[in-house]
Amino acid sequence: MVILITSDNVKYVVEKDVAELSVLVKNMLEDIGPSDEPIPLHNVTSTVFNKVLEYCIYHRNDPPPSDDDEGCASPLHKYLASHICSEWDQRFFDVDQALLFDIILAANYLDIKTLLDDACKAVAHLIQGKSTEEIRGIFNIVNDFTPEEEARVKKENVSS
Amino acid sequence: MIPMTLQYLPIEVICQIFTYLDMLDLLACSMVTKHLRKIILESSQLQYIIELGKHRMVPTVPPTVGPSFHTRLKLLRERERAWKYLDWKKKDTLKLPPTGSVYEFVGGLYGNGREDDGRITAAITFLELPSTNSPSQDQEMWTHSMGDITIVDFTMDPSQDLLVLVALAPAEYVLHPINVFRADRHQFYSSRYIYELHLRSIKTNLPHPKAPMPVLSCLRKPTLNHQASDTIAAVRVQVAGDLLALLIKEAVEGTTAHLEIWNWVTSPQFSSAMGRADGIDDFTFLNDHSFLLVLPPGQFEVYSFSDLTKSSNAPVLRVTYAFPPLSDGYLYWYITMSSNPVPGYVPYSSNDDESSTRKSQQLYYPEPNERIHACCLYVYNPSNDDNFNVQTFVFFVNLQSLINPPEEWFAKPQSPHQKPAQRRQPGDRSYPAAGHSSIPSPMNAFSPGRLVSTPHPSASAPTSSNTEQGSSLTGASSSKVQPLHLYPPFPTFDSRPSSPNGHGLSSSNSTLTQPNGVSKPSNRRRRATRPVTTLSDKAYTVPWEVWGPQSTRWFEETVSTDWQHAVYGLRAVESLDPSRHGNLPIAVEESAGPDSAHLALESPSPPEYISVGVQTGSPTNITTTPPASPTTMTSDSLSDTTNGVASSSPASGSSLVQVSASQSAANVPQNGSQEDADRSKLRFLRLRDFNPYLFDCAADPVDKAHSKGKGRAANNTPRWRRPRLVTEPSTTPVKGVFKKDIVSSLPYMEIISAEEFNVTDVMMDDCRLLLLKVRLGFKFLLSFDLCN
Repeated sequence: MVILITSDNVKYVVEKDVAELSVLVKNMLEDIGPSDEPIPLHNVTSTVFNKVLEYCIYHRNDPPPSDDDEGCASPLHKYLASHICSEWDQRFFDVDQALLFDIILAANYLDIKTLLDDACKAVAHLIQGKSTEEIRGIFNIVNDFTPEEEARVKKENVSS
Repeated sequence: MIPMTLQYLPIEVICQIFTYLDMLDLLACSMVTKHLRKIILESSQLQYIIELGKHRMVPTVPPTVGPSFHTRLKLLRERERAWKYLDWKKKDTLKLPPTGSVYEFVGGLYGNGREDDGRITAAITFLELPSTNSPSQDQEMWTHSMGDITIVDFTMDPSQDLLVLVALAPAEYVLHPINVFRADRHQFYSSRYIYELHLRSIKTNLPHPKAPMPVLSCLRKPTLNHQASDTIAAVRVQVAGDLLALLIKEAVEGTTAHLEIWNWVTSPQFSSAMGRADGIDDFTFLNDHSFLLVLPPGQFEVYSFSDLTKSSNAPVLRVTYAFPPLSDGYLYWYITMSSNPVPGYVPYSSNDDESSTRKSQQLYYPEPNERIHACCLYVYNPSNDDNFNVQTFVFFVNLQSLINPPEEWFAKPQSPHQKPAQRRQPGDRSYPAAGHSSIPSPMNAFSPGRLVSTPHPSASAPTSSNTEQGSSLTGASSSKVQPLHLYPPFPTFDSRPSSPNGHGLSSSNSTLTQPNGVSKPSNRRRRATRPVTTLSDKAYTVPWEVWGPQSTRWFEETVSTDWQHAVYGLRAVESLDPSRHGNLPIAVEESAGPDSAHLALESPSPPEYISVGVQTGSPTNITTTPPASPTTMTSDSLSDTTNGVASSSPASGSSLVQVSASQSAANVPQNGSQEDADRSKLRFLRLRDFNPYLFDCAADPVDKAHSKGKGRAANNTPRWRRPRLVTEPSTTPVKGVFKKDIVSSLPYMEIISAEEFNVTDVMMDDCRLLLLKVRLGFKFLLSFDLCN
């Protein structure tokens, strides 16, 4: 068992194989050796960590992500699969945008590759097929191009 | 606290999110804010995605394998620039193996059949074409003897080391130690089928290791005593990954035209088959569950078929696209359709490159749902005694528009949820929608149509009520039509005379074998004089006016080839006869675009490698020099021609001759032998590119690369004239063949060489232009490598 403490001081007791899905935690455990000391997760709140933990527990028995895709039968198919296949994952990522981005930041900080990949795909899914204006609307982004710049950028996009 | 949003994520995370987007999404994102634009512009990986999308390519290797994205991007840009200006990097001259009537050219591999005395393809020689990153000494050539099978045609897929031989099933099987696999299957009885497909390894000529059944049988004999030699028809054979199709185009001797599709890897015992009594002119896969037929009345038919790994099934007609109506009395002599590489399939790279004969790994491949197809129409009027000439036309169509037809092509309104997704148009430009791998909903609404479908293996019964009419026409067409002298003769690739019995091994498409000289089309198909089957349900047919004008571009065919190897991806190449086109081929041929002022021939320069006898500015006066040494033979091979109909001189040489671009022809002695002007094969090259993205680039009036002389030869004269964009509709005069003149408006960009080439025919593939010429029974191949 591993003890993890989130930034808002919530203490979690997590099975080691689940906790070690986070490369950050795994490395810390290796650094400190056998110990009962709690590991602080400075950049993750309990709200977000609940989600992260839910994902890690569900995927704890997945085959490890292969960085070296050499042996994989069709790594390209995997690469080209820009959408999330599993129904569970789809429901998991069906959350409000703020939480989705927090999950991404947490996955990035904790170094959980599969969670980061899937969360990024979930964000990409929000963008797919949308116009520039729609993308601004979805993410509440303010256009910082002047009209002249905008015209130039449009032109560059089609002729570059 | 600032609300978390996309903008404030770490840059590397934003990059990762963006890698899951396609070109259109990325272009949309790049206009959201300056920050996002900067991220996209500075990422090689994202730029690579955009660049692939613009050039309608897909990656074939995963990001973790192969070179960096920076390198990939550079290679891709170099490649596209080289194609845009036909700026080749390396030039090789190859002397081809002895002539044969069947040949194939796929993926840098050239296969050439060689006949024995009985005009049967006895052996196939394979030649790996040079590429820029391989020294020419490494060119491999090997020959496989094909033993005792009667080969009608063959095709190959070097990416899976697959050689498919179409052969006549032997009348009687004899146990032979070499042919154990065949004897095993058939024992001693005679085959009930007319054709066999042999699946072999290109490298070893042994049964292909992935094929559970190395020989597939096709088309049952109508009677057991059926003589196979009576039934040789034109065929087309096509491989798309695991799928294999054989089309027997003609209905002869009690059979029907026959199409059959197998999954040759997983379940060759099942197939999807259909027959048509009135013939099938051509075939192509569209994707892994649908295909397109070209039919004699002048129409495309799109069919779908079910999963072949479970059971045999019959194809289902989804939609018909009608050609423009012919004038009364006119008929199609035949129609061919060509594209490369086979649509609907991408040879994804696996790391065990043992299965591939290709040495260099290709990083990208043409988008499988987008192919420009060259559809050649040969029309004649059998009742008009004074006018036996065949009128030829070619039109180009991107399969994408037939696979994903817009909803408005269909009269029946579709329910809203079936609408194809509408993409926004960045910059208000018209981009093709990203490829979809499936037939979209409008076509799924259709029910099976009117085909004669024959589940394998039971023989089909013609349901046509009109076969008699078809037979009566055959006599007329074969005895009276002598069209070939009235339009430019086919570029001829071989010295094969017409078979005396009129049943030559004609395999017109996949082999480019064409009638020689002025030979009569005596072995043409039996064909009905009008559609045998009527369009019973008009709702399934898209009339020409609805789909055709905006989806096609028509030309009067001037050089008759069937374009089989002259199209690749969205590009098509051909050679132009200057004596027909004059010095301003474009200006006289088509309505000129705004750039027409630039199209005047920019002082024709002596070509750097075939300058033997080419006098500047007068392409009709050609002097040649006879072969004297290996060097001059090379030069000579490029300068002379025997009008394509070469005699069958014994051709034993198989050496490769290398000529470099720097080898100036100025040191080749000049000789005064004068060629007849009309036998000249000095031609311009013309490349047409139907990729819609390029039109935006071309709109830029001052193209930097071009004006800086990158597309120029070493002596600083331009190799190529300015690329020209054609977007306005053109009207093709039809000389009464069709009821109306044909207006078509598929946009394209075209580039014409400033220099001329001595060439019998032109071919192209992913990274090469090949100029083929025939001289004294030898074939010479000039290979231009454009990229790695």
